Amino acid sequence: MSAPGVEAFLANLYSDAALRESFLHDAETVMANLPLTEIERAALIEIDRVGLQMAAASYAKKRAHHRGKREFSGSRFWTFLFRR
Amino acid sequence: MAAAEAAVGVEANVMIRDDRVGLAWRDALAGGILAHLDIIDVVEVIADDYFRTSNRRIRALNTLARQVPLYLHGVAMGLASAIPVEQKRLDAMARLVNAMEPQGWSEHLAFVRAGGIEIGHLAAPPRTNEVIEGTLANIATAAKTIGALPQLENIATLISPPCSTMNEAAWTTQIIRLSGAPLMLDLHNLYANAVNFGESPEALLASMPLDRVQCVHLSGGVLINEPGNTGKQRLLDDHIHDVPDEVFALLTELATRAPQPLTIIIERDGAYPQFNHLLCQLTRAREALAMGRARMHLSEPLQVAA
Repeated sequence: MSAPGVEAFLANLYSDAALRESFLHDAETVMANLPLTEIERAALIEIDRVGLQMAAASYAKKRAHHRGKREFSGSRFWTFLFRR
Repeated sequence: MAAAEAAVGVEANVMIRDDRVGLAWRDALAGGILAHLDIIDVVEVIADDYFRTSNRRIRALNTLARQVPLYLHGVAMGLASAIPVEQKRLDAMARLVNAMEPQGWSEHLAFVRAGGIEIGHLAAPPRTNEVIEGTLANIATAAKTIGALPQLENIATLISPPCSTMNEAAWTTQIIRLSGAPLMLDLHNLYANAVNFGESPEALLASMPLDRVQCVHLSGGVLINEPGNTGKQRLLDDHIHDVPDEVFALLTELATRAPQPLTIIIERDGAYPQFNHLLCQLTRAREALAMGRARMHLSEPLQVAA
């Protein structure tokens, strides 16, 4: 798999809870149809499993925060500053 | 000897005057920042917050830029990637740089999206030669579009970047040396990675390209439990806690090793304390910096005037 392909797989793994659960249960089956090199496949099987779960939880929290932030677009301060 | 010590003191003061200490702008901190611009040397603004905003907010930011040296900080470009950076993001940064004329702009050595998926935050890419090549291409495109090289910031990570073939310092050094871009060294990110992956923070600091550091980020974080009741913890860089003592100590070490002027910026993204508390953190940064500068001058051979 190309380097962009590996990044895309990681992005998927970081953001898709079901895929991540399957991967942690049986990484080889999840990767079976991916055009990975043997080196990439071995590296992904050796992935930092604890770190994967912790990073994914952190990213999920950030995505939720971004969604909340987009819903609050007002800025009373800037309005106040400009009107002074 | 007394004269020599006095001379060292004078030199240290000269160097300290070239260093700057400031805060990252957040709307919640606006009142405090504007009321204390006499003791805040520099302000850093999240550029992405202004990519799609009203002319009124842009004019307000311009007003700020006329009062204090300002830096723009990008958070979602995804420069450290084998995937080309989106031109629309570069164009947005270019427009803002043209409008603000900041002292500089910066971005993270991170990927944030791939294959149409937004990760939602800064992720460490595989530390490989392929990603270095892609990153160098992205930096060159960004510099051409925006008109200046970015300062490149090291990121914190909870996961050891998969498929990596080199360590953080070697990977970062290659990108900094080959791109010619300055390093924005986030000392809490560096500290967190050292804690999370069993390295010595001092050794990790020493292995970074310290001669290329221009700006320094300071922030805080929290230890979180690893899943599975292992009893182990990792450090999350959350920007809602005070800068820890260990990070101030790293700043002293950096100031001892890097003689060039440094711009220090404290980041706080929530759980805001009283503003005076943040001012105390600025004071601690100045003290840490001054201690490092004094050590640096003491370790230099004295120049005896002819």
